[in-house]
Amino acid sequence: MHLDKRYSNWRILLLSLVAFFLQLYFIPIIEISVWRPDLILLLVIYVGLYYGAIPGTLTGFIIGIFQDSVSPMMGISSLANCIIGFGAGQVKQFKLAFNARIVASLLLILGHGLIFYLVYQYKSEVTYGRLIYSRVFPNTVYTFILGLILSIFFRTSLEEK
Amino acid sequence: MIKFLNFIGGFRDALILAICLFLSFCLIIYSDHDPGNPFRYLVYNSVGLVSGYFFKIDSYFDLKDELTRLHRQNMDLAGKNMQLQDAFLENIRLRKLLEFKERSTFQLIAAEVTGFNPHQIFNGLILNEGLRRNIKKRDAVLTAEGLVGQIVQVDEYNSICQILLDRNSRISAQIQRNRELGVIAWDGGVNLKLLYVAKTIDVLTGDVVLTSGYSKIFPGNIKIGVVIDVSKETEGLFLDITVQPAVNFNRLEEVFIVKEVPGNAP
Repeated sequence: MHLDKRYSNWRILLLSLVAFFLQLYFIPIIEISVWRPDLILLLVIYVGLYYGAIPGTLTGFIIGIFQDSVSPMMGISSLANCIIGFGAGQVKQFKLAFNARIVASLLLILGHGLIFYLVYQYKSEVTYGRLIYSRVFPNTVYTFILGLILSIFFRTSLEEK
Repeated sequence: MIKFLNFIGGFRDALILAICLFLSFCLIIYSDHDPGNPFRYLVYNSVGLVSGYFFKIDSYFDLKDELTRLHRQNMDLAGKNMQLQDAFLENIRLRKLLEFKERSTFQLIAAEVTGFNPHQIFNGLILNEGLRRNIKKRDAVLTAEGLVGQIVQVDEYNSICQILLDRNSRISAQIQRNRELGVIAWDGGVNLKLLYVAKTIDVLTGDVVLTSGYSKIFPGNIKIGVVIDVSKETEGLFLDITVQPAVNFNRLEEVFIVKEVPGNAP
């Protein structure tokens, strides 16, 4: 049991590192205009949905800090990520079917965008409404599509959990 | 105490979330753009370290195009570099000539060597100055290094200079060290001979040979060359002296034509 838990921690750490660097260097390549999918968010949701609220919250918070440290604003990503990680952990309790988890993921991605840009608007001159339709919706769709593609590839391993 | 801990444990998820939220808010409020933040510094450095490898991998996609572009750029730059080197060397030569002209007491006319004389009769250079600049036959030609020869043919725009390495060339010369007189002539190869210097005269290798100034063509004290070999093993009364010309005739590009020799005008 302890070995499983330790293995899970290392797995989450490794995935976090991979997601972090892919987000930095691979995602900008597939960026469309200013819309880009959020691979780190997908990882946080995955951790929350499959490992629980605490791993989800902590992963979201820690990786969010790293994300913030290479962006102009500190604290915003960690805030939004830990809330979504927590939310995903709560969804886990309902023991949803695979497809239902996909739908829940869409809502969590949308929630992340809404929280992130809610805080972001205070540090920018753009209105929240404009940010929602110019950033939140496109990013949500793009991130969800990427999540779907990944879930197709990893469906077997995800359903086993 | 245990009950309290159990109670807290029941809200563990929410408690951790609350702590994370609190820390996030603290970060939002207090750490606006702090470039000196050691954590930021650490992450930036780590990211920078990894980014080098990622950029390399990224460049593999268009490596061939990049290589072709760099080859073209390299060729272009090599061409420009050659032009610049030419310009640089020309600049050095011209500066040298200009300095020589400024310190010279002669009236000098600069001319470019445009080719070698095609006639077999004498070894000569074609210069791009002629009658329009009042160039005349028997005007002396020299460079900053030393004597080149004399003008033997002239038309409106060009002239031909007979160089020292010509079988008809004879120039009155003297050894700088002991002022002994002789006549400079071509040795048939790439050097000159200093003729009519008696065996009793002390001539050493390294002695500088100058024009004597007794000619109406060549001004005095113009360097002709340096003695590189002296031999007494000859029949007759004179030494066999070989002189290396001061001027490299294969690399001549600009020369001066002497128009007026102070105190020795023709």
